[in-house]
Amino acid sequence: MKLEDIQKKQPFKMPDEAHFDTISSKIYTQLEKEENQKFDKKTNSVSIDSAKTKRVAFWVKPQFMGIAATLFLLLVTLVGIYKYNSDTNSSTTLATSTNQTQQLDFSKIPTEQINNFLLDEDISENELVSFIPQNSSLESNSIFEQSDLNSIDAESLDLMLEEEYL
Amino acid sequence: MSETAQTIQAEQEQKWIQQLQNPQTNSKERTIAFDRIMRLHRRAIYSHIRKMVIDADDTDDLLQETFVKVWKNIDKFKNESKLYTWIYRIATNETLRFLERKKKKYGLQMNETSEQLMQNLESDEQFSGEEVQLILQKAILTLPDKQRLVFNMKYFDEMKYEEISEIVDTSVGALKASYHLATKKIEAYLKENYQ
Repeated sequence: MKLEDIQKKQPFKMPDEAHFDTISSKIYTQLEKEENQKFDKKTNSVSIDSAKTKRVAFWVKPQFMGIAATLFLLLVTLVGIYKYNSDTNSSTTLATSTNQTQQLDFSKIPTEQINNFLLDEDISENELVSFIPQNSSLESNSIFEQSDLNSIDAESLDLMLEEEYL
Repeated sequence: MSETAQTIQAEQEQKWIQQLQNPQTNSKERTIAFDRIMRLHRRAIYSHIRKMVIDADDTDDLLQETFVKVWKNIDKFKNESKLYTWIYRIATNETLRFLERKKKKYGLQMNETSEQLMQNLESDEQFSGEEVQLILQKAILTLPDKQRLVFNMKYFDEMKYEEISEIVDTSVGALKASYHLATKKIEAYLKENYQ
């Protein structure tokens, strides 16, 4: 069977005008509804925006708070570094000054006082030598002269040694 | 319709389009212009959609969607084609999208969709009840959606290939081949199912 053999006609009966008018009114209702929704959306967005602007001051906004916090941390860090540096400098100065105070000027100490100290304390000769600072006038003191082996002549020294070994 | 009547109608239509596209037109005039356009084309568009989706309620919904889109997008109509071609194109796209969504929603294969449409057709009171017409429709329903679309526009609506080409955005050559193939399939179906 060929297509030409079939009578050509629209397969469906067309609805009446009233049916189409119903569809038309549905179209207008939908369009109106969408327009209203669009308008409501616009109004809402405008009111929300203005409310935001009114309520939230710029310093409360998160962006600003973030920047402020970063700057504060930076400032704290810088102050910390500065303080640490100045403390180190002062402690160096203190250490230097402490060292300076430790270098005693023995010339200003009365000889009698040093003598008493040395006699009272049980200090070996080596310790004593190491204890005596350079440029000290202690060597010229009488107590040192008394114990100076260089001043003993050879004979006396031999005698002393013999007595020791005997 | 005579050529003079067609010219007058085209001129009137152009005036309505201008009214719709002009932002200074008040809402009442806009509504009147849109209503005129809708009245002019709604029957043809209804018939076009109905042949594709078969179901009457689905057709009403799609017709409504089509004209809502026409209203919303009338500013984009460039007058490069005829208005009815442009409206047909919107209706066609809406219909094809609807059929695609339906297939996805129910997970239907092409033959299952055809069977469902055939059942709808048999129970449709508005279907022109002759047996041969029913078999012809069943034969058409075995075609893929786009081929069915081309066949309907050429066979029932007697549109020119150039017009169909504008609507479905396919070359005239491809449309001719598609229509020829559709005819062969339909004739084979008729041969098999109609004594």
